[in-house]
Amino acid sequence: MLIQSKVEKIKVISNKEVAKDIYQMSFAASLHAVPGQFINIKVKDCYLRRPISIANIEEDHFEIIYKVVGEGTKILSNYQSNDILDILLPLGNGYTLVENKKVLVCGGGIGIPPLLELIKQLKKYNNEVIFLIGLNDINENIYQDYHPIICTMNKSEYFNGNVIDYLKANHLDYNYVYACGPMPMLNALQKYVTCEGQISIEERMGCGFGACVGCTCKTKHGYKRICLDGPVFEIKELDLDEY
Amino acid sequence: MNTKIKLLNLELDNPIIPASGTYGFGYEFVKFYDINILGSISLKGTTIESRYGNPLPRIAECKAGMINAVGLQNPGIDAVLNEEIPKLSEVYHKWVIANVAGSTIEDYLECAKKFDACDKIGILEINVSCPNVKHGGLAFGQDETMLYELITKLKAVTTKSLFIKLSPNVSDIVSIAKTCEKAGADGLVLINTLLGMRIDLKTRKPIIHNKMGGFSGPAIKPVALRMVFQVYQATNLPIIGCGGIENASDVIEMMLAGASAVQVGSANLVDPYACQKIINDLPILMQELGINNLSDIIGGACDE
Ligand SMILES: Cc1cc2nc3c(=O)[nH]c(=O)nc-3n(C[C@H](O)[C@H](O)[C@H](O)COP(=O)(O)OP(=O)(O)OC[C@H]3O[C@@H](n4cnc5c(N)ncnc54)[C@H](O)[C@@H]3O)c2cc1C
Ligand SMILES: Cc1cc2nc3c(=O)[nH]c(=O)nc-3n(C[C@H](O)[C@H](O)[C@H](O)COP(=O)(O)O)c2cc1C
Ligand code: FES
Repeated sequence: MLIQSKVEKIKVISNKEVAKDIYQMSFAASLHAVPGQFINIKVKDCYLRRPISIANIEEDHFEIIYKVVGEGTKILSNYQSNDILDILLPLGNGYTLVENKKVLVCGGGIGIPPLLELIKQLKKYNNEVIFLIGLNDINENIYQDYHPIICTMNKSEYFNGNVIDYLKANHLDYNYVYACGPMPMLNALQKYVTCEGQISIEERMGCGFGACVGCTCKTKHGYKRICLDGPVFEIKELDLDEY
Repeated sequence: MNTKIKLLNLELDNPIIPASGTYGFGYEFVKFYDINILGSISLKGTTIESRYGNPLPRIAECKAGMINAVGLQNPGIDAVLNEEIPKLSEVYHKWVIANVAGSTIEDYLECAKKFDACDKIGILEINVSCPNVKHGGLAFGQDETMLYELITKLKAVTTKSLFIKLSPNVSDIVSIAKTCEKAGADGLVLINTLLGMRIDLKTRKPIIHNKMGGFSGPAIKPVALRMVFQVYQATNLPIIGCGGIENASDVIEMMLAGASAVQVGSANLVDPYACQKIINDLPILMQELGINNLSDIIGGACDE
């Protein structure tokens, strides 16, 4: 990846609640980045930056989608249009795009946002995409535009179970997989799928650009920093039972 | 404005040195700015063998600071000498500080001997203060008999200047500093991280896998200042002050307490340009405060 990370002051275009506690935030900047990369945001009154995936890249703006889960994301949700944020970006390796494949894109919860830009890009490279997502709360389904197959509990109009249950119950035709979501989902998926693919993982970060080795994980190819050498890894590269 | 300072016979263009563990082996920062503006660089703590360190998560946030339990992850001294330092030398043209850690006296000695042959290294910083490893590390920094033995033995195997990096997790920092001086240390680095922890309310368990970790950042600056101030008055050793330095004012404050140079740690992680900003701002602040020679203010806050 030749795109250089740097700190920029970036203007907020909008920051709106699109489902309970889930915000879509748009920034005025033309960003050169690939799907799966993330940004690290300096939030007022928080010491460390907050890493959030890039969800959508347009010519003159880009978007993130985040869930309020603690202090930093709570403060982030209070920013308004025209506020300026100090952001370190773009970070991480991002997904490598395949061509001419039947691709399963599998997401869970707040791991879904980076997959949206990925799907957009995959389609440009002549891939057939099946988008399968798991949601604990069906009200968090803000992804209709991307036509996902939805797995959730206790809602008769959707598949009742998790994404792995769905894969076991249905014979989907795919020869490559991309995934991002909670660790138990990634772990089960890694054990279930037989084809190649890439997964993206999360970890608490000190810097986000490779300086502190606070995020180093063990892989089949040696130690790797999730923030710099990841967050995207080959699906079989990590021993997810360790997490 | 003259920002030059001296540590023993070693000259620095300015007193700003990124602290060990927060700057990797330096070259990661080339993408942000020309690192040749730095006074020097303290490299990631190095051990004889390659180490992974502690399990994840090993970072937590606190008010005005952070906790890390990285646990001395490093590629081992041979890789540092044969790969990391040559890679850094391509982009950084001044001498650097090697940070040495170990579990036994023999580990430290072996590391020091190997570093002794490397011309790029000006100072050996002996880390006897890492709170994140089970054996050695902090144990040496808290036991004066062991510390004395370690330093005298190190002096015998290296010609490099020996700076001992001390832990604040002790009841009498002055006594430990005096022991270092008696044993023949050439200088001190004050301070390493404070032992701290955070607990996740949802899981009701410590956030850091190792439960505890090293607390750093602006919150610890008063502790660092106090220890530098006390030690400056009790010994004749040059001190590199470290702990919570974020801007040019912090540098002046630390030097007034008695530091000859400073190390900037966590600030690099939050703002990769932190050292660059400090170096740019320092002459401006000196002018404002009427300081012509930065070295004149060392220990200025102490009575004498
Ligand atoms: C590469 C990457 C991409 C991410 N993308 C998204 C995204 O697109 N949308 C989204 O909603 N969330 C995303 N996350 C998770 C997001 O970073 C955390 O939810 C957020 O940092 C929580 O901050 P807080 O202050 O609200 O929580 P607090 O718990 O108060 O945070 C305390 C500290 O822990 C860290 N932390 C807490 N939870 C996480 C976590 N799950 N991952 C990493 N650090 C954490 C915080 O950054 C902070 O340093 C991503 C994480 C990573 C590493
Ligand atoms: C992520 C991280 C890793 C560190 N690793 C080392 C190390 O390897 N050796 C060492 O002597 N100190 C290490 N330290 C301590 C720092 O060098 C410094 O003493 C401490 O963080 C206090 O300074 P600060 O408040 O400016 O961060 C580390 C600190 C951090 C935050
Ligand atoms: S978070 Fe610092 S190296 Fe990854």
